[in-house]
Amino acid sequence: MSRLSITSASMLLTILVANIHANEPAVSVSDTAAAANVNINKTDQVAVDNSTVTVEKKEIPGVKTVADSVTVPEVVGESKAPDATVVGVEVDPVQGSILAVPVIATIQPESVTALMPIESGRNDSNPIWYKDGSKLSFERSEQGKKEILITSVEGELLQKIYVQSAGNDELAFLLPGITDAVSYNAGISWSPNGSQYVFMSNGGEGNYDLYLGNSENDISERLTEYEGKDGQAGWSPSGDRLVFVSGRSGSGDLFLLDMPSRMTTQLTNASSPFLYPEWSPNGKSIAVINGKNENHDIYLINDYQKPAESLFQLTSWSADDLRPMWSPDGKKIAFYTNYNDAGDSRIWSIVVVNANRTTPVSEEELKNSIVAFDVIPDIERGPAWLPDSVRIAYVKNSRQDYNPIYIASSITGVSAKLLTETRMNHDVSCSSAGVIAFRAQVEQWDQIYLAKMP
Amino acid sequence: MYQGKYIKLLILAVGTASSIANAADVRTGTSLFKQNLYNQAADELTQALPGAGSGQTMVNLTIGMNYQHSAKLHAALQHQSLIVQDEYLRNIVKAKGKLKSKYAHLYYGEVLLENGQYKQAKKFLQNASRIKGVGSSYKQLAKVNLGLAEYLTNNKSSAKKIWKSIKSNDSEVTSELAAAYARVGYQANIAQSMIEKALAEKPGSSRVLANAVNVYADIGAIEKGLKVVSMEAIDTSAADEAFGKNKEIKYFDVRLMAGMSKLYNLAAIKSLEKVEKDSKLFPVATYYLADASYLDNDLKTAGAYVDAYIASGVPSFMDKAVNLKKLIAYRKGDKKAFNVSVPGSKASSVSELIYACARAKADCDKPLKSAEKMLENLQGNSARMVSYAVGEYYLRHGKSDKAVYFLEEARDKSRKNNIQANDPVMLVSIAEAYGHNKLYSESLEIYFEMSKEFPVVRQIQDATQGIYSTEQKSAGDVKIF
Amino acid sequence: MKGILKHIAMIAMIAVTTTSFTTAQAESLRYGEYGRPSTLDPITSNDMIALRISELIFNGLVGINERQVIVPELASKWEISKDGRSYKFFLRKNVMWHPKPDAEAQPFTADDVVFTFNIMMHPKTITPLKVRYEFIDSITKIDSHTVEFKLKRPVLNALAKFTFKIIPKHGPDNSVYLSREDSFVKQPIGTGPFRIANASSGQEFEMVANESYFKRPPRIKKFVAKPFADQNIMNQALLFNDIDMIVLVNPRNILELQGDKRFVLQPYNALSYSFFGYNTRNPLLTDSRVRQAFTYAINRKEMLKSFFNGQGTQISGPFAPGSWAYNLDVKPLPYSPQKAKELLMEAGFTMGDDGIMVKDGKRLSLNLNVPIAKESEAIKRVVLAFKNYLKKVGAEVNVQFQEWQAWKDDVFSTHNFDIIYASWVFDDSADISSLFHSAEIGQWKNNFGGYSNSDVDALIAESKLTLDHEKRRTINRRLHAMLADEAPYTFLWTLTNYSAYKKNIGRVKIHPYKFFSYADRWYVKGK
Repeated sequence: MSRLSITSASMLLTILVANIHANEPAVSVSDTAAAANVNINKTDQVAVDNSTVTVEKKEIPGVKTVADSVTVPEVVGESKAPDATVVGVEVDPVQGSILAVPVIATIQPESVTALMPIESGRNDSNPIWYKDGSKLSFERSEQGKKEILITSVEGELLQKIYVQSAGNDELAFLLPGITDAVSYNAGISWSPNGSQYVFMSNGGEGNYDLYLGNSENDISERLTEYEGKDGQAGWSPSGDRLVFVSGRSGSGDLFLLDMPSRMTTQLTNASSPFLYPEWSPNGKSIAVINGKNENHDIYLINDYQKPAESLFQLTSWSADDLRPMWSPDGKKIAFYTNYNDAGDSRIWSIVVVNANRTTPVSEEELKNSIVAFDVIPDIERGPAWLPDSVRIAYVKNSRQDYNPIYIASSITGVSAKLLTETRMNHDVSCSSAGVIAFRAQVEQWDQIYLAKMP
Repeated sequence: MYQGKYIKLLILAVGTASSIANAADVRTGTSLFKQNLYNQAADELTQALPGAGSGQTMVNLTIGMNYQHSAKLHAALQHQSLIVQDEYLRNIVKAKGKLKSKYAHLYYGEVLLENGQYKQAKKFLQNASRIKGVGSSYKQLAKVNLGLAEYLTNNKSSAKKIWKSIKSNDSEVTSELAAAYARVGYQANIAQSMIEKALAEKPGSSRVLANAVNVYADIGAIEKGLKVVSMEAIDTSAADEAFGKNKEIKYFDVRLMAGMSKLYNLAAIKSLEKVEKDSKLFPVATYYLADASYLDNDLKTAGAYVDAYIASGVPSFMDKAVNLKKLIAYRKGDKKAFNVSVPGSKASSVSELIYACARAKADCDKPLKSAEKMLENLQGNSARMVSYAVGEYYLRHGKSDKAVYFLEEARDKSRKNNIQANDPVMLVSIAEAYGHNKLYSESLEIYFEMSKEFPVVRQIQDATQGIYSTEQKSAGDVKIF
Repeated sequence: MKGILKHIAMIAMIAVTTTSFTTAQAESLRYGEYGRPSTLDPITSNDMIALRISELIFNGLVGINERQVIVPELASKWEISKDGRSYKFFLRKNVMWHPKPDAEAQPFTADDVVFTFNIMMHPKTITPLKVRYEFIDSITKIDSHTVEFKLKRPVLNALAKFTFKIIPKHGPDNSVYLSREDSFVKQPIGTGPFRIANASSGQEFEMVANESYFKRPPRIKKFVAKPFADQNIMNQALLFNDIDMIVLVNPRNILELQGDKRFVLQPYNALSYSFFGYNTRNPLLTDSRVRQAFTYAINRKEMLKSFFNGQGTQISGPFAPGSWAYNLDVKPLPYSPQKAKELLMEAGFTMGDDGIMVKDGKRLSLNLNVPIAKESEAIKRVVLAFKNYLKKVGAEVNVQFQEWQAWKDDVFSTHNFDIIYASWVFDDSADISSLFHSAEIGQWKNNFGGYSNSDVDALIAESKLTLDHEKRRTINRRLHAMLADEAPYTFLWTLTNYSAYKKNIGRVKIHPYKFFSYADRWYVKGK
């Protein structure tokens, strides 16, 4: 370790963290948080050139390191990770030791815009992209009713979805004690060519079922008629079928609806609910959670045509694992877990594992596959993969910062804060064109925003 | 494999289109009416009327409907006020010791009188007229009411004698006298001048205002009455009794909402009658005229209008009209009016039958059972309609547990106390049911919201708080979280 | 023969596909809670989840039924002396404690009552209950089934206070004081309608009906408390039939549940309210005009509508609107940033160059301490809004989110805070004496803000002494008006709590504070 003579006692040097992985843009470092003493090992490559100190990163797959021999939790010295996840370096002039300083890396989006004019009086949420990124849907809650809006990526309103059974409003007006029936519509999933979509609605009648709509006209067709809930539908990326969750078999099983024949097939049969099924990008497999109470695990149905045989339990530890999302290239799965050393079930992390496997993930591997720590579990949308299948957008449970959006690298575990300048962000979802949609609070009401990644 | 149903998607409509000059104002007024904001709707629509041109008839119809709903609401509120004030004041009057209330006798006497319990009323009013340590106006008020009680029990001569003996310059007393005269139709011609004088002298007295509303309603001076209703002091207490430094009881005029109901009803009839020339709209008006006449206890006119409506064949209120007819028949003495073997399977006909039966307090156990069975398979608005009717039935038949259950089924739970999301008359029933079950906080919450549009419910809130404070038993825990 | 078999097979198939109820399931109720309790006994427990469980497991000497009438529980009758200072309870005979595992059930006696009171009041027992029972002077065992309490002074509605839960003498390991390390707090035994079947499974708490309950045995044979780590998952569990009831529905999930006719969404009112509380010890906050200014600065109506779906009511003072003590003449201060600025200037502040008001060289910069509860999204939204609103009138708010214990230490022990955001939950919301009386200033006492006003003190003292209901009402109205004016808190709102449950659960009466008080009469409707 070379001694350095520095004039200022507490000079902080900014460094450029060298990124080994080609896909990651260089991140600039700013905003210091707390500081801690760490000794850099003698064998480390530390070079100082005038005002720049570079630390060469060593990349170990599955293990996050930032500066040599320094991992984030160690920086702080205790089990709590800091808000920052990139380590910068501060030189202590007296001792000549190099202090590792947790700093927050940041990313400046190319643009941040509200999708539609900002209004108060209604809350918008849950943006869902059509796969080519040209249009998206979101849900609008106003006065007790919920409708789905479809807009182009430029914010032009294309369609409003609000199913109501015919012939009720006259009556509602005239009879005492009764008001307009409210309808709840949510959870859209597009067909591969985007001309049709499936969504969940109670039609203003108290019974959640799947409906089929299309972009040409306002006619919708009811697809299911079970008296309990049918929902969480996903249109297969590869063909004319849907997976959805239904309570008809007991408590939440997966069903397949073949669109041409309208026949349903039961895919699972368990005493605890299967929830939030997601098709793999090639339309062959389904990721889903199953479990009870505080313990859910990730399951894969590797081949939807052989659901019982190909059902595979990915995780089995006692922590709660939720909302698996496939990377766009189909090779990895990201999900939330509330595992942590302190056993605090309110602290959530994001884990990324390989999808193609024959053995379940061991506890050791899971612990080492955490790519983001202390996150807000975004159950509506799940961890939001970026098109490069490496980075994930998520909401950080920052104590000071009102739920900022961060971008994590699933390889290095480095996170950077996306400078959207919006607050109380949630429902993060990224299009194939690299535009992140999310909701944020503006003057007390939630609006949909789009942030274009640089 | 089942068939998909085709259901039309609705793009949200924004109010009704209208081809009249100030369409926007009319739309606002109509929308306020649909949201059960009767006071605001009345203001808005009345202002929009002159400029409505060809749409005047429609506006008159809406104004009429609005006032009729308001009249019904205030009648329901009056009913509530009597219930809670009776219980509240009964306790106050009982309290003994140094801090015994003096005023309570008068006010309790008034409540008893309005409830038709004349013997008891006279007892308390007698006491009130003789109580020591109160001003002479108070005793005169008691005398006026004593006279009224005598008159209403057919002792007209002793009533007149009592009234003649009252010598007072206090506007409250003269207003009270005016109201008594107008009510029984004795010397009604001087009632108006008496009340106008009192109004000019003491516009800040809620007793004077309440009396004025009643006088104007009784003599049919609608415009003047409506002006009084909008005056500031209308929802304030009629008297405050202080006991030492830190005890004060508020008393309210229990006739206020009865007068308002009558007034609104008259206003409704007046507006609805203007619709007669329009053959398309008049049928709807006849239904409301029937309902208004019924509220006014004019069964003959009500019957005529309801028959006219039924003859018109217009479907929108047919179920209501058919059952209003039964209600009228029942009131006229036909105890079998509600004997229907098969109420039908349509939710609206079933619910209207049960609702009318509830209003009559008649026995409809058979249709009730089939209604309850129907509920198991009903959904959405239909279920709420039937639940409301069933709940109302149980309430009127004294089964408050069941009443609460069914009425809650009819309520929009996400906006549970909101009168825009729930019919206020239904909310009043819910509050009553909860009151019978001693869950006063639920009633208080309902009235808290309601007071924003209808501040005159204050007297109900005050009495309910009073009852609640004596009934509440709890261990006194407080936690922070 | 074949025909019959086929017939039977068809019936079996239909049975499987039409309904998800087996007899075993029809007799149990699985309910979801967001989080898990730390201790299960009624003395040390400090969270609402545990409080609810203790309603099922324990009894008090008396109970309060749905009609606000005091009814016998462990005491079958009682005698109150004329001067109101002596309460004698005659205890029910033939009541048995739940048996400890691998042991015989023991009988309930006066010794248990004496034991409970003494352990509750022991200085080493950490419990929030002590201050509530300070009015009790002593307890004496008269005989095996009679106890007598002597009060320091007569107290209004004292009988209602004897609803505190009784624990067995042979229950805790330590017979002198109760600590959280005692095995009893994890595996309690009581006399109540349900007993803990297995508390050690970690995942859920199974409580089975006490068939020898001294009232009728409960109609539902099993209650299972299922803790969830995520409220959305809990909501889906209800919608997909995995649980039968959610105790407290997250406001964001109400719309979806309301849209499903299989469920009852039942509101219950816990007579609670949320507020921003001020530390009047800070010179910047000593002037009531500053605190009032903050109240004018925020738009409470808007926040309620957006963050809580409008499920709540704005309040103007220290009581919930459903309380009999609420002063209906005191209206909430309107939203007026202009008025807020005026008040601050009246109080001697001037606008600084950086947009923050200054007085005597000190910037109006304050710390807001917020406990991270599990409901953190709604809390963060409110806090963010507060910060923004105050910035607009020239006050800088630095928000600190803290762990529960650290927050409590700062607020109640070291008083190291400027503003807090929290809620009070009341059993009897008319009793605000511990919140605003100056004698309640001090370590671990409820008047955390150090608020002191002799008029308020005098009124509170008088209300505690009087036995006259109307006097109490009047005093509370005066307190409401005073405290609204003085603004030791910015009073925000009372939120409506909703429970959601399957329609086939009958006779569900919910106690607004303890929830399960009447659960022994709930039942599952048959087919």
